[in-house]
Amino acid sequence: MSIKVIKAGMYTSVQDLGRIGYGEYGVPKGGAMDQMALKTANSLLGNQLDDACLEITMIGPVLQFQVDTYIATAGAEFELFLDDQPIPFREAVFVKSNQVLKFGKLKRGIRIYLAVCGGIQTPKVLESRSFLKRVTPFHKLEDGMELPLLDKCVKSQVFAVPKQKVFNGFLEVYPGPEFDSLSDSQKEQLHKYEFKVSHLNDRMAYQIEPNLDKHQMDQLTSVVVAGSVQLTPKGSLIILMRDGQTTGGYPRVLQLSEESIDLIAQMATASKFKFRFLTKLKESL
Amino acid sequence: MSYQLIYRQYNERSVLIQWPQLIDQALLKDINEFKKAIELHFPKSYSVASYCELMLEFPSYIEDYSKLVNALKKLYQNKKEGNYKSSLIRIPVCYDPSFGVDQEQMCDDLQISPAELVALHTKNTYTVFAIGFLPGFMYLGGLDKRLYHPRLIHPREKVPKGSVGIAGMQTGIYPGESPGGWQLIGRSPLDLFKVENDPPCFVCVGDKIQFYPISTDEYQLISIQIETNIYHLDKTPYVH
Repeated sequence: MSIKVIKAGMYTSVQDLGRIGYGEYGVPKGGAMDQMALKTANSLLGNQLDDACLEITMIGPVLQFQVDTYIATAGAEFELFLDDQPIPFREAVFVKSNQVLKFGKLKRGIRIYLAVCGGIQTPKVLESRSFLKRVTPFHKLEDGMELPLLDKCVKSQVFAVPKQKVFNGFLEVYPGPEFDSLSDSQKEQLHKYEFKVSHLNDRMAYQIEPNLDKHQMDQLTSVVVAGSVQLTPKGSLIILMRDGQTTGGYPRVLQLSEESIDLIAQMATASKFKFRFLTKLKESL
Repeated sequence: MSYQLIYRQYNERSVLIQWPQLIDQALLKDINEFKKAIELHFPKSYSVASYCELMLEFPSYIEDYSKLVNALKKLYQNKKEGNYKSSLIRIPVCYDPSFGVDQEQMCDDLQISPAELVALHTKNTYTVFAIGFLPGFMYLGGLDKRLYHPRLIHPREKVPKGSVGIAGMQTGIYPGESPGGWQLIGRSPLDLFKVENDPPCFVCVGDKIQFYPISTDEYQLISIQIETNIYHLDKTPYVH
């Protein structure tokens, strides 16, 4: 029982909620870039929230189902066609064996999650099915691959489906541990600038523009997580994403809220946003 | 030993605990002892140590931060010294020039002989201050000053897995093939990171590393032993 990958698309990978507990060995958590969208797609089918889905970026794959099953999508909005007939987004859809799923025009966002009844069954590596360079045998789908599914599809009862967070021009951030070492001018830049996603954006990191003032802050290698915003000496801001490294040598000036990581995961090159500062998280001696 | 710590909430589910900004083995030991005490008390938590800090993460959002910090402070006060034991790991390195392709240039620059380079590199016991950048990549402290050397001006697109290099005041091993700008002085046959191993990396932050020289023949032999799963890692409790 499987899905046959006729065409892999631009960057399609198997993702769940990532691997927890291997950061001390330098292994990033990985997992779906937009975690809420993955949970939504799963919940539409009554799957476990962390079942593995396909994360599909910008240009979708062509997939042939070799089993009768249910599918559901969430995240970015694409035109979807099953045997060339349009099918709805964010709804459970019954698929018959041999039917072909194609992705048309991208209407909103850049990453869509395709859930299949029971979840995709590619092998777990270090407790997760999420594709990750240096950890899993593949980091993205290739033409001709077969993705294993459960033998039998039993669509479970659907409980609550999470509401999708709507982007309102702002990404919410907490001041990072090194925020206080910034100059007043750099702090103001973070508050006031309108930023833009540069062409350097992928599953590891999003670089954003414009730069802040340069700095000469020295920093011992420290721990970073998805959503940590690092400032390079040249003043460039780098937002670490799901596959980003686990330690970094640059000051951590901001930390994105979990919702905001999901939001930026749907932003393409040149998307604009401002930071909105959340109340400073607590600090105590 | 007890330090003045700073606790800060890092995001919805994480607390960052910071020690004074020092590169110090006693401090690293203190971090590991606290890490151990936290793991025992909060079995669902997960933490990563690096140089002078500990990032502590919970599976769900932190609801009462003040309560959590009070519990952590209590744990720190009551933690027992010596609840954590670090390991001493001896890592074989073949310093043959076929692997240590930058040796000749380095020896020229540093005005030492290849034998002296090997002697200096294998003399010290190194401390693992962090693991990151790549899975299984160790940040090692303790390189002899006479081996400090700037990285390559033009980084290589491909550095082979196991390559042992020097960059600035750091030395380390590439756990997998990757681009890199370190000066290569040798190669180790060991797998610093392998998902089939449990755990996937045999080194932890706080462990001690010693390198010892092997010939190309021994390199081949150990490679075969690793492939056939009969290699025995030289890992012993470290006595302070």
